Amino acid sequence: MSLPDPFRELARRFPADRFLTDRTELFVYECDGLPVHRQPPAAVVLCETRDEVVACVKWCAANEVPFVPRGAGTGLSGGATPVRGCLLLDLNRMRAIRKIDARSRYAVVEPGLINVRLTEAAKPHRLMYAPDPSSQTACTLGGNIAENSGGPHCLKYGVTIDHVLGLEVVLPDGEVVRLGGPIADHPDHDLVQLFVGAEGTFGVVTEITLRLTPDPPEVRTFLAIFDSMAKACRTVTEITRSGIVPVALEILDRRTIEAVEASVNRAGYPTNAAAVLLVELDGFAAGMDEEERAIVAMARANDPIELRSARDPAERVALWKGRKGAFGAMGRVDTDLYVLDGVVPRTALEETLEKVYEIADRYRVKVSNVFHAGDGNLHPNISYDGRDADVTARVLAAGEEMLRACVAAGGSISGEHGIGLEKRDFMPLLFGEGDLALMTGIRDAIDPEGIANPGKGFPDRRAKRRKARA
Amino acid sequence: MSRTKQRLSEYARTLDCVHCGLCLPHCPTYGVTSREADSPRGRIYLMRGWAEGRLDFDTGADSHLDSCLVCRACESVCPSGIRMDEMMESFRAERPGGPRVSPLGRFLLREIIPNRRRVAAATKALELYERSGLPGVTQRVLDRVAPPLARAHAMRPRIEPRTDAIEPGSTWKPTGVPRAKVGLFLGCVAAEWLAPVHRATVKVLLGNGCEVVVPESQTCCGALHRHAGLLDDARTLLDRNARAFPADLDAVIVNAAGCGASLTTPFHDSDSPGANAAAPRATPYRDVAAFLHELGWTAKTRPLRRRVAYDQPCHLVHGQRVPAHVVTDLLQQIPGLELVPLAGSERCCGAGGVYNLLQPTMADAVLAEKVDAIVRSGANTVVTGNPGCLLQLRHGLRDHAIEVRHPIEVLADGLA
Ligand SMILES: Cc1cc2nc3c(=O)[nH]c(=O)nc-3n(C[C@H](O)[C@H](O)[C@H](O)COP(=O)(O)OP(=O)(O)OC[C@H]3O[C@@H](n4cnc5c(N)ncnc54)[C@H](O)[C@@H]3O)c2cc1C
Ligand code: SF4
Ligand code: SF4
Repeated sequence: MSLPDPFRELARRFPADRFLTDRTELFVYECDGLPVHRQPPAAVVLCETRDEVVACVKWCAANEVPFVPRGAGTGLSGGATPVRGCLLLDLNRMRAIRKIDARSRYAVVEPGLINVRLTEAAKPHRLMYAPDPSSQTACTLGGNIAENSGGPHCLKYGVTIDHVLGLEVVLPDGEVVRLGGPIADHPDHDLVQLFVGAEGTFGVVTEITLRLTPDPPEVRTFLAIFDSMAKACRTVTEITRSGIVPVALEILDRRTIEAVEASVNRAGYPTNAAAVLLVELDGFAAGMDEEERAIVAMARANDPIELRSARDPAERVALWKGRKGAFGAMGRVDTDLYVLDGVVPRTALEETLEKVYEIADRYRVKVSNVFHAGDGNLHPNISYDGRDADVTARVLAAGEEMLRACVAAGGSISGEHGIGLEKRDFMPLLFGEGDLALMTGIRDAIDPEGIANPGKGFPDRRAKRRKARA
Repeated sequence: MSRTKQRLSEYARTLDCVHCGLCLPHCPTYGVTSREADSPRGRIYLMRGWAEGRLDFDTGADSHLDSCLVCRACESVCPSGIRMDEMMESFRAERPGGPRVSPLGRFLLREIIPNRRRVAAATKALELYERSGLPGVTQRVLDRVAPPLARAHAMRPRIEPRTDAIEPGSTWKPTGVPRAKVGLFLGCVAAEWLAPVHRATVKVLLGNGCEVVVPESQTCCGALHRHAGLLDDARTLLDRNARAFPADLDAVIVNAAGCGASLTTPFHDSDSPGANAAAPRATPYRDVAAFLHELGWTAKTRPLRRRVAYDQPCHLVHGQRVPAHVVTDLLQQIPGLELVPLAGSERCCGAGGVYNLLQPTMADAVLAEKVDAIVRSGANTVVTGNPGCLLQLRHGLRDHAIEVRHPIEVLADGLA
């Protein structure tokens, strides 16, 4: 495999097993969790230290080579999909926990650390890292920062951005900046906020200071199984209206239930179930009994087929199992899966879902829904055969229309999976020209050469220039 | 799609993967290299890419598929239900140039292993060699001239004494009316090299009221042949075994997890002639621990002072889905025995059949992690129910005062 000359010079600084240029090796990096977009990188480097990242980014800047950071590649919007000719910076080997300060409740970690590892390490101190994407056993904290990820428990605890105290970032010119710090009201905390959700377009995060949350003393989980989606949605609306704030309010629809039941995560749902509502409460035992009674009464009033509750951790894990494995289980329905991510006001859940099913029928695609009902975050999952170009085109068109339906209902085009490649062209649906100009203006100020994950989040205006040069 | 069909009969299986990445942290080889191509998702992507004609393997490029341990940890966590064993089996059999087995490997697999007398003769030779004082010299020479061979040499099994070996053709009756009648599956080299394990198995089965028959004509399970892609050979062996065991048995007891997984997994290269002919499910093969757990422990016990950690063989937990508690529940029947938790007990030890001989560098890296966890557990005995894992852990722990035993041996020690 012949590499462009300057790459060879960079390659010399790394051992061969951390600088990958073989065609076979590059091939497997051509997509992330959204395999509709594919592009192999020019080279992959597995970085182990910040200084290595700096060296790579500086080299990219000097040679006008774009770079794309990559965590576990579980992203669902093409954020880590390589761009043509890029250097892919894989951060999985930077996975140390540098510090856990139990008294001040924060942790300092490297970006390649897997989300759930932090909670495991904090557990002996009776602490946890609250944001828990369903991919938490695999996704990296660096990826979470870049996507501002949410999770089932974020209804009460807030999403990633609410838990980031400080960042160390290698800017697109190779300069290192430290933003924020362990103290929550650090003077430059606002800059931290700007970098969370930047999808790697503002540089590479090389160290993260995160807030840890006390383990709740008591957790209660219930599952209400309904024979119609409307009943489940109505229960959600009633719970939120009552003022009770559960940690999680999740819904699985019929097709998801069927797929889950066929997978290793089978949860034993009845076959006539059309919607499963999962509710979790946490906090102090005092007062919880009352909340529990109120929620059970609301579910009962909507005529469930079955109510289940879990009081010990093992039972809880079982109730959650089906939910957490839902995306993967959809792999059984067809060869490929397109996971959409849109937000609607909670009051519009039911009607938007109807619309989603209707759109799916019209485009003749198979859709299933599993979603964070508590914050109106819908995840229509379209199962399809990506080898068929016509089917793929219909899937993408249906997806776009579903997102438009979310916007029309007063919602947004991304709850937690980011914009990436997938939705960059939909940005104008939400934002006016002025907003977009401001956003791109900020990005251009941070990345004037347009080499940091170009083309993600916004259309890549420099792509043409680069191509002309290549 | 006819072309892809030709290239990989398990092509359809590769489509089960939705590229979610949930398997990555569970894959031992990815844990070592962090390279996507060494992960389950990467390997499936490679096989799919190759089957679809999007990728051609240059020389050596399929090394990432050879470096798969087929430990099947990915299968246990994949919500999409992928089957790595089937894909690997079909890939290794059908890749360009066919199965990649050295002439020596082929000779051993075809001429020695399926033949009990030849295995016994080879074992005798090994024992003579061991007693001769030559091994020390050989090791020193190999260390200098051929490090890979030196490693294989250092890993050679220490053959355990075969006094009271369980002979093929024997029958064992418990006192009183038998609770069950079972067959004992001996395997190929295990019968010769790990005789105490079979002895202990019979002892524990008798103690729990089972009648045990050991049919003469049984043979190797064929797992190694399948790993290597020699599917027809494996099928022949499976047929021979199916005929060896009488029809009136409640179970055929297997005490080697790797053999058990292979014996209970049907062939999936459904395109090749004679596929599924052996119908392995027809013979009621059962893992010894799973069988005893279900039967219920009734034997009298005596106390054992031991701190025991259980390391789960991949082909038991992932291959046969026998959870850890099945084994630890049994161990708990022995009074005084203290079980200590072992971090990552569901992770591979790097043995992988003969993987440790074919891919020594990767196997060593995987093993190092395991040894570390065992030492940290504070156990003085580690138990694991598979010959390959026993040998691998004994090799890894050779400088530590930690015993490596089959759980059935510890259970036998605890019989009153
Ligand atoms: C089964 C499944 C369930 C999921 N559930 C959820 C969920 O509940 N909630 C949710 O929000 N998301 C969910 N996701 C999406 C995904 O897991 C998250 O977006 C996650 O944060 C991505 O992390 P990653 O390490 O895989 O990042 P990648 O996919 O590798 O990268 C994502 C983005 O982050 C950038 N990036 C990565 N590391 C860095 C870094 N150190 N510095 C700068 N940029 C970086 C990349 O360039 C890319 O743009 C799910 C995905 C799957 C497959
Ligand atoms: S967990 Fe299963 S579906 Fe997901 S990437 Fe791994 S093999 Fe593919
Ligand atoms: S079988 Fe084991 S080594 Fe092979 S891909 Fe799966 S987890 Fe990795």
